This record gives sequence, C-alpha cells and structure tokens, in this order.
Amino acid sequence: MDRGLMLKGVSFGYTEAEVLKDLSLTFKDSGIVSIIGPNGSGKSTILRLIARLLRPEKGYVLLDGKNILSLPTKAVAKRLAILTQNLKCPEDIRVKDLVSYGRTPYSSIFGSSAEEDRRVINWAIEVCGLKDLSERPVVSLSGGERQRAWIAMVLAQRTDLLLLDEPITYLDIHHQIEMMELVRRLNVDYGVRILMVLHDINLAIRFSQRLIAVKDGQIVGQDCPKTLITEDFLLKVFNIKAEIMTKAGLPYIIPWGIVT
Amino acid sequence: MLKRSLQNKRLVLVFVGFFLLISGVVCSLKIGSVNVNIHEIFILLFHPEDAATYHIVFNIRLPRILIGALVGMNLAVSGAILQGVLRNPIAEPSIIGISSGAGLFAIIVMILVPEQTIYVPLVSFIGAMLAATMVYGIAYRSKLSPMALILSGVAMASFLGAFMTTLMVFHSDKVQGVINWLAGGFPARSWMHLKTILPYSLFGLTMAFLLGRYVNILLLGDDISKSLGLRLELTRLTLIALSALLAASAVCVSGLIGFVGLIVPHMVRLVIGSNYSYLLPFSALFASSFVIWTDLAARTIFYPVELPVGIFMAFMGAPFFLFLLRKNLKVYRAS
Repeated sequence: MDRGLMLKGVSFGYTEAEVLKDLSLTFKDSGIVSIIGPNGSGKSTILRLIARLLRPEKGYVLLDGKNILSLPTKAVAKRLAILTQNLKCPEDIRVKDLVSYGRTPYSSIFGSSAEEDRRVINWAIEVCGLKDLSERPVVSLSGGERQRAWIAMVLAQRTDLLLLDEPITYLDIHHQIEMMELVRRLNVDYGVRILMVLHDINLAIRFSQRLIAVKDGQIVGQDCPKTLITEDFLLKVFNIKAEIMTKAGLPYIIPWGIVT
Repeated sequence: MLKRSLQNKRLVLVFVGFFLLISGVVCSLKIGSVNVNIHEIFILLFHPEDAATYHIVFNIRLPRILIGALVGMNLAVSGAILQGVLRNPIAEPSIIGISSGAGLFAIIVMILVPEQTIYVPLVSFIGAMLAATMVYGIAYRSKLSPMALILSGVAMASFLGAFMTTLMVFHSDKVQGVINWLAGGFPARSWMHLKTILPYSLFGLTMAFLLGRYVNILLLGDDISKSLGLRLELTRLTLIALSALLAASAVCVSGLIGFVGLIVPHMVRLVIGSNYSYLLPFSALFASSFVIWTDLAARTIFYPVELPVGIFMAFMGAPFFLFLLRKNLKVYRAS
C-alpha cells in the first residue's frame, strides 16, 4: 500500500499571487522533517493544505494514496493533527479540559469511552510534563508551559502524524530547546512522525532528519541537514552570507550579512 | 485540590439551583389574588372540591409557572449557544433575527386581524424561524462565519423592526395589546400554551445538552476545530438551528423577553466557567428559577397591577449581574 503523505501537483494562491506552484512532495519519513524557507515562501500553506484547513486549487493531497478531502474528516483527525500559530482558548479552561478536547475524533454526540479517554489524557499530560499544572487555567501558564499544553492536546488525539507551524516562535531560548526536545521525544519514544515549519535553521538542523527548503512556492531542495546546508544553499534560498561550522557532527550556521 | 473545589462548587450550585426552582414553584402556587397554603394545595390535588381555588392553582398558576420555566430554559440555552458559536459575548436570540421575525408576524396578526389573536403563538413562531432562515441564507455564502451571521442578523432585525414601527404608527389606536406583547410576560397563559412550547423544549434542550461539547471545540478556533475532525459548517448550522428553534418556541408563547437569553448565561459563566458541558445545563436550571421568581414578583408586588416580567428581570437581574461582573472581570480579559 501507498502509505504516508503525498502532495501531487498542488497549486494554491491567495487571490492572484500564487503561493504554491505545481508543488509535489512526499512525506513517508518516520523521523522529524522540517520545512525551512524565507517569509512568504509558502511553508505554512503546505501544512495547512495537508491539514485540510485549505483546499488546493489544483492537484491533490494524498493520505495513504487517497485524496485527503474524500476521506471522512473524523478518520483523518485520527491520523494527523496540526498546531497552528496564535492558539487561543477561553480564559478559564484548565489544562486538563484542553487536553480532553483532543479526544473529540473518538467521540460521538452520545459520548465516548470514558475509561480510554481518561487513560490517554493522563498519559498525554504526563508525557508533556504537565502533571502539576493540569488543574491550572491554560492562560495562567507561561509561554512554554502553554505550548506544552497544546502539544498534550494533539497528543491525546493519538495521531501518528503531527504538523507543527512554527511551534517555538514566541518562546525564549531555554523553552525553544525544551520544546524541541519534547518534540524529539514524541518522535523517538512514541513514534509520532513530525512535519514542522521552523524559522531557526540551527534548531532545524539539530532536531530534524530531513529538511525541505521552500522558496517562492516551490521546493528548492530537500535532503538530510548535513548535505543540504551549504554556504551556497543559504545564499540561494535566504540571500544571506553565512559561515558554516561543525558542531557535534552537524553543520552550525553563523549568519553575518545579507545579500541584496 | 483545585479540581475538588470546582466539583464541590458545581454540586453546591445544583442544590442551590433546585432549591430556588422548587421554592419558586411552591411560592408561585401559593401567592396571588387568592393565597393558598401548601396543606390546602395538597388537599385540592386529591379532593378538588373547592372548584374556584382548584382552577386558580392548577389551571392558572401551574401552567404559568411551567411555561415560565421552559421559556427561561429555552432562551438561556439559546443565548449561551449563540454566544459560543458566534464568539460574541453580546449575542442573544434576537441577534439572528428571532425576535424581530416573531415580533413583526405577531403584530401583523394583532393589528390587522385582531379576531385571530389565538394564532399569535403559531404565527410568531413561523415569523421567527423565517427570519432566522433568511439570516442564515445570507450568511451561508461566507460559510456561516460568525461576523457574517451577526451583521446580517443585525441588518435583518432593523429592517423588520422598521416594518413593526410603521404598522404601529399607522394603527396607533390598537397598539396597547401589542406593547404588552412586545414587553413579554406570562399573563393568562394556559395549558394550551404549554403544549405549544413543550415538544420544542424537550427536543431542543436534549439536543443542546448533547451537542454542548462541540461549542467548547468551536471556541478553540476554526483551524483547531477542523484538525479535531469537526465538520465546521454542519456543526455551526446545527447549533444555530437549535438555538433558533429554542428561542422561537419561547418567544411565541411569552412575547419578546430579551434579558434572560443574554444575561443568565453570563451569570452562570462567571460562577462555573465557560465549559459548555456544564454551562448549558446550569444556564437552563438557573434561568428557569430566575423567570419563575421574577414573574412572581412582577404579578404580586404592585398587585393588582401586573408589570411586564422583563422589567423585573432588569431590575433584579442587572444589579446582580453587575456585581458578579465586577468580582470576576478577569474572565473577560482579552484572550
């Protein structure tokens, strides 16, 4: 069977300006894959198309070989979940409530399996290190804790594929690394396949098995970080001059100027 | 620890709610033009010898109480759902055209064919549902986005309102009954009116309690709702149709009572929080006792003059709401 995700000839444009042009992409990795690229290159659009928040104007998104839009939305919600940017929830919703909403695809209007739900919710809270915070309102948490609460929610969704749209954007450096380590743990310990959009190239290099570079709505390169990240590549994709060092066997970039 | 306190709070509120409800029912049965004590009510129940008193207690007061309770539940649950689905704190049944639709159709009957007044509930129900359907229809092209619904609802309300005012201006000699109906209330409501509203209430409230959980999901935003496998448009359509049904069936027996649908859900939210699995049933419970108590006050305090119940709701409810609001404003901090 044709397992995994595929984008086949996908075009998408906000009004006239095309964001994605005839883009094809295969995602069958079991590891962590990061999409990198400049602002406005269409990175988030790729995630939103996969998560069926947007409909492609041309082409298809295929999940296990079937058009994702033709599959029952509940069935898809058991396979993949997305965390977008700017997440919000009502002021008084507690961590535990939020995590329990992750069980939605497994319920009908007549309820769900309470025992199974409780087990998964507690597990997700535990994995994300929120045990002591589970009764606190989500909005009372710090940025890093709040992001972990949302991760716990999608974890309770029990999908094998998780899409993250810039999960560390508003976090300080400590919490950025903490979040990336959590993501890695989800992948290594619990087999959740990750496809995420990241701005920080060094973190992307360190935590991903594969990078996909997007520019002007097209894929301009995809490979393991070691092979992909070169001075030439950074110049071509980001228009920056950067020096590349090696740290723990991986490239580490030091940007020092832009090219206009 | 915190969890315990929240559960205890809910438990206490269940008791408080039922105490207010039951005491409200009992007091409303006892007090009025003829005062009856509980003992006499029981005797009447099994030996209805005093026909006049029996009639007052069981054919005038009891149906009025039950109608008040149902109207309160319907309006509060309808308002709570709309506030969640439209993500707008000032949403209430009139915002999707319910009140103006019901009002216009009722006024047409009362002014133009006053001999058919008996059909006012039916006709106003039709008017309410028609107006709501039209608001839907207009907003549908935007995939029922909250903003489109609110704007088309407000425009529809002022359009239909203009018709109402025009009719009232041209028939100023006949507006007395109309004004009373517009103010809303429960004078001379009978078992017939109860039969009108009961099936809609039973169906609508049951569905609302079952579907309340989905409002929680909608509050996380469209993206997360979709990611969780919610069929966004279908869910919104169903929830708004339910709140239209609940509000229309309430308005058609009680006239335009506005306050309950807006304020009671907020009062309950301030006390027990915005989780819709609890918000909806608690709103129903407290709205029913709220309407019963205010109706009792409206018909007894200035006896024999009966004030429209809406006025009492504002007098008693608004200060209490402002008090709660002051204490809990942080619930409404921008999110």
